[in-house]
Amino acid sequence: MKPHPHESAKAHVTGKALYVDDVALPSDCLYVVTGVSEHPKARLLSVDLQGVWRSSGVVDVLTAADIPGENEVGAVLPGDTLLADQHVEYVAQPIFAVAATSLKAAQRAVHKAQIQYDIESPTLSVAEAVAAQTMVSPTRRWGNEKIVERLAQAHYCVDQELYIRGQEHFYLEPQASFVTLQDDGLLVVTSSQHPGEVQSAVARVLGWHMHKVTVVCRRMGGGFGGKETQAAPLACLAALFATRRNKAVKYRMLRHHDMVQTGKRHDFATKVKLGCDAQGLLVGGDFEVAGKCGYSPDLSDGIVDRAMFHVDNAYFLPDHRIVGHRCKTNTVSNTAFRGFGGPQGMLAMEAAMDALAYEANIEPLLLRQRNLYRPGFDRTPYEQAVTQFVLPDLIAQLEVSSDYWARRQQIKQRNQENPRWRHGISLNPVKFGISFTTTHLNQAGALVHLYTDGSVQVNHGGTEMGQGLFTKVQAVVARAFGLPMEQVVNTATRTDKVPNASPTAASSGADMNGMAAQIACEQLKTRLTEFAQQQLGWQGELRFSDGMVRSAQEGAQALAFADFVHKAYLARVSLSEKGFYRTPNLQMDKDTGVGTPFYYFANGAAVSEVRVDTLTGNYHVKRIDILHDVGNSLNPAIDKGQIEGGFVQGMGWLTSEELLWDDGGRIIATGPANYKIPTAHDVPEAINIAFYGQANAQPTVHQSKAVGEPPLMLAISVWCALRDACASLTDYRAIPELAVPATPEQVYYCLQKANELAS
Amino acid sequence: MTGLRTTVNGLSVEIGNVDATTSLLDLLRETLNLKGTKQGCGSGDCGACTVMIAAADGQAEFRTVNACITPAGAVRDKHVVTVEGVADGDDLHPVQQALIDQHASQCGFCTPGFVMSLVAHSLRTDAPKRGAREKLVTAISGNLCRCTGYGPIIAAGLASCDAAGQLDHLTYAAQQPTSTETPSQQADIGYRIARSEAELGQWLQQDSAAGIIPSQSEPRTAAKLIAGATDAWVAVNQEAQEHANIIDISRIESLRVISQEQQMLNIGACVSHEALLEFFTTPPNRSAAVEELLRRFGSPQIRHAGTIGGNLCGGSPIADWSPLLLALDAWVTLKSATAARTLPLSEFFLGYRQTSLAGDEYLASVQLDIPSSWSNLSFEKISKRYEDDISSVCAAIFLDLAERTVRQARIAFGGVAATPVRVRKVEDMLLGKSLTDVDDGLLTNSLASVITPISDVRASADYRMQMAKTLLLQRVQGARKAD
Repeated sequence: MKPHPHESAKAHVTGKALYVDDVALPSDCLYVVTGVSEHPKARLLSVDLQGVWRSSGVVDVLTAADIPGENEVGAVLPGDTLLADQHVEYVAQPIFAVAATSLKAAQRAVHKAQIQYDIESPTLSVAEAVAAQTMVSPTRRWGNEKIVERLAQAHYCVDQELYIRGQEHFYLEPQASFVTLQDDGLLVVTSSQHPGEVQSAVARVLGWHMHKVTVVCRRMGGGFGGKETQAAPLACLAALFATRRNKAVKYRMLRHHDMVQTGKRHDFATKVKLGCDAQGLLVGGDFEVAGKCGYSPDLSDGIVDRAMFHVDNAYFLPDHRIVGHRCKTNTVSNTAFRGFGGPQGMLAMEAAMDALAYEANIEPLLLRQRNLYRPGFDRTPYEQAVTQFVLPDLIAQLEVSSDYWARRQQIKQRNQENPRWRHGISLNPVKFGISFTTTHLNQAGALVHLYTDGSVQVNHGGTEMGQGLFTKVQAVVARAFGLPMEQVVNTATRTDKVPNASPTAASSGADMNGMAAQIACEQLKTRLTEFAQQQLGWQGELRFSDGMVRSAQEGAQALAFADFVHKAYLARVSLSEKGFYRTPNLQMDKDTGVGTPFYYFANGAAVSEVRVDTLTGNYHVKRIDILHDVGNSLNPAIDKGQIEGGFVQGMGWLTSEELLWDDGGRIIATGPANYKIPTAHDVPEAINIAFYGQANAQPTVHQSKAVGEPPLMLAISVWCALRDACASLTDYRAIPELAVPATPEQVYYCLQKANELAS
Repeated sequence: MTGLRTTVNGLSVEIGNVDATTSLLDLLRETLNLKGTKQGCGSGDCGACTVMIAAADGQAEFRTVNACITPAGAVRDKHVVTVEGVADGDDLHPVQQALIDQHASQCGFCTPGFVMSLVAHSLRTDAPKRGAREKLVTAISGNLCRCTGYGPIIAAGLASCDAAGQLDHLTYAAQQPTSTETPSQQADIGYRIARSEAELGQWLQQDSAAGIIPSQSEPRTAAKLIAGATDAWVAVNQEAQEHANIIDISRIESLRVISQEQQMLNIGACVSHEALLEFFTTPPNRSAAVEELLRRFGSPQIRHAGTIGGNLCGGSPIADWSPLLLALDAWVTLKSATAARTLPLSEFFLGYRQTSLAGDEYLASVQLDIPSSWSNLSFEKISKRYEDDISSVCAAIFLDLAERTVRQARIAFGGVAATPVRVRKVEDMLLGKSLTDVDDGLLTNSLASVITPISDVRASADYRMQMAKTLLLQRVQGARKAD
């Protein structure tokens, strides 16, 4: 299909695209700021809010005791509280909320609370939580003990530990909700990937039924998983104030509040034991992944599952054991972030593959290629068979297009000649499972309306966060009716149009909502065909193309789409249809670790080359080559944008974005001044992106593949290339440990380790 | 503040009553209902709120700033152009069209800021080749995008910047000053713009006499002096800090000039980083060290607004100007209504974020002797990210060798102690010696004995120590080789 511009592109560049913060407000609108905990774990002895009440501009103050419904905003498992009650469990946990006549008045008021704490000893690290077995949900163990023996007998074996730090989403638009009263109910304008969850959370805290709450989201200024569950508390607090004070309420977080109060990508402590035979064929892997979940479950159960599902990455493992811990720590509750645990599982494996390659004295790429899933070696650890063997051929193509082997040779040679500036290169594959691993979420609804002038509206449960979902669904509908894009409008996501929609997450947005919209279109076309045959006397099927409707018969009758639709209207034919889609053939037993969690896999591979200054650890990425499998692209421009943007976001996670806490459990990377996402300078001019160009074998919408998350993991090649550059100091005899993220400082220490290994 | 007159997108506006701590962003979004300019961070780091400002008479070129950390009062009698103003009716600006054509917006929240940075870049007439990729990347270094990975934005910039329009539809208004009379500054409560040092001195004296400024030892609590406000307004936004008495000194002409008397440079405290970048990249005072400092100093938006005086008065140990000026043996002139004093910059920094400025004093200027050769001065910065990042460690080193002997050595670091520091003990080990006689190990040991780096969000104490040593050795070894 065509590279049509983003449906909002013109609105974006002219400043006319409206976000929650841009909604016109009534003059008596209230603004919300929360008062938060200063300690990671404590009992609240007293909360004196008299000073807050007296502060200028304050209209209302809320504590947990004032919540009429449940003090609970958890999406899956209970345990996520809206306001702390009796106990606080992380620094910056909201204890009370203030509504004032201006944002600044609310900001000033929250500092006037007198809170007394009985401080308790916190659990701040994964190691402490594993030792104490404090978990937000039970540890899962897949596979069996046999692996221990297999690895003991392996010709080569490595034992790797890697601590993988989390990541702040840094969506450019901070979290925001705006709530107004509407008759007996509420209208919530939110920046959320899951309006249905916002609706249910608001109803729950109010003690209302969901039918009185309508939630709307036109667009988000970036989501990346950070607005899947994290948007709900803002809407809940705004809704509480709105109902208490009969006023419109806006709660838009300040950036430095958002940075400490909302969840991030999980840190993971990982251990991988990996072995192979003399020929470099893997005999199996023993994996332990421990996610730093924070104080509550949120989505962590599924996130650790997905890390477990992706420790194999692209490689066949004859035997395995995979243990996944969900560690409860006294830190902000970590949440969904593009890849949802997959990147951490995959990175642990890729780091171990490099170590094993050195151990077995095999070129890392050859070890990788030798172990890819292939016919006869197709069972994943969870016993789902890989059926589309994309990667062997995809990598073979990328080897050629990136000139991998010649460059690797040149780099090795150049490194010998230049002691200070060292280059590194790495090619890494990505295989990512597509579908929610929580099976029931794999459902979607859409609504298509034809109007009497031939214009079309489509609405579905998916949300637009910049990924181009609305543009893709618009194209699916336009194509179904043979209309130009302009004739179709994709309207804002609303819980009163498509109910009970799943979050726009797991890369599933276009797959599911596009399919639901297509099903609605097909149902409408069936009805219109009946109408044409019965009322217009046309014969055979209808053809919709070029804005015309034709009968398939020879010497066919034809009408302009608008005229045709108008005739159908006059004949009292319903011109509106809903479509419903559920992803087929999914089932998973998460206790045994066996099932078919994924509809298919998205694949890709990337080659990254870096240049490192061995004096300081400073580096620059010189060149990136990506070959990615998007099936038949629904929109090449949008898919390329997802690949490039996802890659750079992943590169940030693994390089400059250092999410640091102090010893007291406080996040010290509190804003863009000290949390550094990539800038334009960090992306090389030489970034070559191509599609693999093979249709999805599964019957997805137009045989496309999901593209939202997988490209992020292609950036693992940058981290591996940095490590490769450091390994050059050992003359490629040993591979030093490299921390995540590989800041210049950490690359410097990796270089020191390489020097130690060399001597 | 009352009666704020300004021009926005070619239309003159007068706002009746604005709180002194209102930001330009709030003025645009809340008061003028121009919602196209976005707030992403409130600290001048993301660029989503980028707008252009020029003098209302159209004389000066448009310069980008971050509206979130620009005081509303600072645009009095200026011309502000926002994303709503760059298209001529329905005709998009070439930059806007190129962004659409290159698929350069995804979520779109950062896009208005990029539009403004790219339009401002396209309007620049000084760049020898505007279309060069490197210049373009620099022009957008103060704009963060989390969706696209920047490739399409750069492509759009390259495709449009040479062909871009000149905002002719705004010219008429820009040539008409919104007001010919000088606004009555004195009547303003809260935000005053000083026009001369005499006026500034008078206000400081009045405030002091009224007892607003308590004593010399206490920090300035009442009269808040601001120039670019790039630091002050972060606290206003993040802490909702209140100031009843702001004095904007950025328009005092005498503080905005760089003058040269024989071999001495006198840099006014309110000279912007951008003006300094221009000065130090133009002969005869072309300095690669200063250029290295300024190219990586903040972002274009920050460099347009921020001033050298502001950088020094913050007293931060990681302010990049401080070590460089220490290595030049600069001194500073502090003035009050009745007196002026000059002291070496090394005596200006008293402790962590503490300076020797008294409550009724202001920093008027920085003086330095022009070195015999600017190439004797080097500046190196270590940071997590190359662009728009604060130094973990930076080193400014001035080494003058004659006949293999070190005649002058001035070595200063940022990020290794509570203040920016000169390491005289290390300098003494070099002075009068031939570099071949200097033992590198002894030199770095000596450095380690006089600096006290700490661990924080930017780097560990150990890495800072290692980098300080590395930067010192790199310079010494380089000079040794060249010798």
